[in-house]
Amino acid sequence: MFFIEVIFAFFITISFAILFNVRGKLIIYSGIGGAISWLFYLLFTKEGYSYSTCYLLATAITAFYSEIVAKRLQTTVPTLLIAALIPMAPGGGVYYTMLYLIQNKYQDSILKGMETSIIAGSMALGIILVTTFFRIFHLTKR
Amino acid sequence: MQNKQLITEHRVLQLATFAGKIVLTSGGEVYRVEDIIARIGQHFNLKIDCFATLTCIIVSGKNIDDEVVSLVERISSRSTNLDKIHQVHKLINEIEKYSFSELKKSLENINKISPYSFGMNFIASALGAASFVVSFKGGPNDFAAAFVAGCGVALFSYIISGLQLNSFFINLISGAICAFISNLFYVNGIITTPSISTISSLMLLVPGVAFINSIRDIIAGDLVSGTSRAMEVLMIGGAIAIGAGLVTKLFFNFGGF
Repeated sequence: MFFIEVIFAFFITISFAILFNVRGKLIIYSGIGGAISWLFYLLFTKEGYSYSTCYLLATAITAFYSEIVAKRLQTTVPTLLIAALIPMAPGGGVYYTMLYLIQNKYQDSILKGMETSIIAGSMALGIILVTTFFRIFHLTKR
Repeated sequence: MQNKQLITEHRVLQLATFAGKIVLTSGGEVYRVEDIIARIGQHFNLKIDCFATLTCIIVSGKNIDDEVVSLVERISSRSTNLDKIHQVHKLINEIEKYSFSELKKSLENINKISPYSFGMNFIASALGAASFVVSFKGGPNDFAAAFVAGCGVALFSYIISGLQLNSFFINLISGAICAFISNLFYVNGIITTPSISTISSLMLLVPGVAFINSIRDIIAGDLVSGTSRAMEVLMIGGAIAIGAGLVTKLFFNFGGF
């Protein structure tokens, strides 16, 4: 089941790369990024880390991969990163926040909404950490 | 060098703004737009100051004789075409190799790149939505439902694309279509819960581009564009939740649950 999920994360990312009009071999590299993101997310969840830590670390690793590959292929980081992070997007959180709201379960809804914003926040933090790291790296190399 | 002096300032300014406009309308970050415009100006010995937001590019250049030329370019519609950004980035990295007319010609060629055909988009959204079912641990029936919902979203966005409606309304209706198809499958007893296929197809509408661009703009110090992108993320997220919620509520009340 573990590897099936990773393989399907690869297909998810490829589909989204096509929806975002990425072309050529970049689609495959983006798909590998998506597989990496979901693989590490599953690994960290299995280790029993809290969900915010899982999202933070998995996003940071994916962003790291995108920065390195983008440098090698002479492309922009978002071209690879946007599709690669889609498997971890908190769409489920948005849906359940809304579902509990219309079932009049306000407390559950607020909890889910909180969880969704924490997930989005930790993904943002993961990207910020890696991007800043690479910026410092490029500055010192010059 | 002689050739360079013949190029007047306003033509350089127009070329730089054209390159910036391609990146901005294809879903690039605002700091990248400003960077590209400045670099093209630098290459042709013109100091350009640029202020770009999501809807407008304001450029002004100063030549050796202290004469000022300026240009305002309005951006009316934006889409996502990451391939164009990739091509422009590649071009700007090797800007030393190009003369003015070559650069202009290659930028025009990049601008002509068409997005994927409708068939390709259709297959991609159906497969993308269906593949998400696996990561939410759904069965083959959920897979079928998400596949149909993905087709529905792709068809709707194709039909609506000519009308130039606002993104809030489009996302609202798309979210409603996802929930409607999933609940239809549920009412007919094909799937045991409408949640899995609804979430899977809603993923097609998640504002990934806006989210990542907003973060990257804020890191680069462009707070104005960063916060307006963040607003866009919240608005799209709200729209898909409201759309899906409306339909689910209707099914709760009248669907015989």
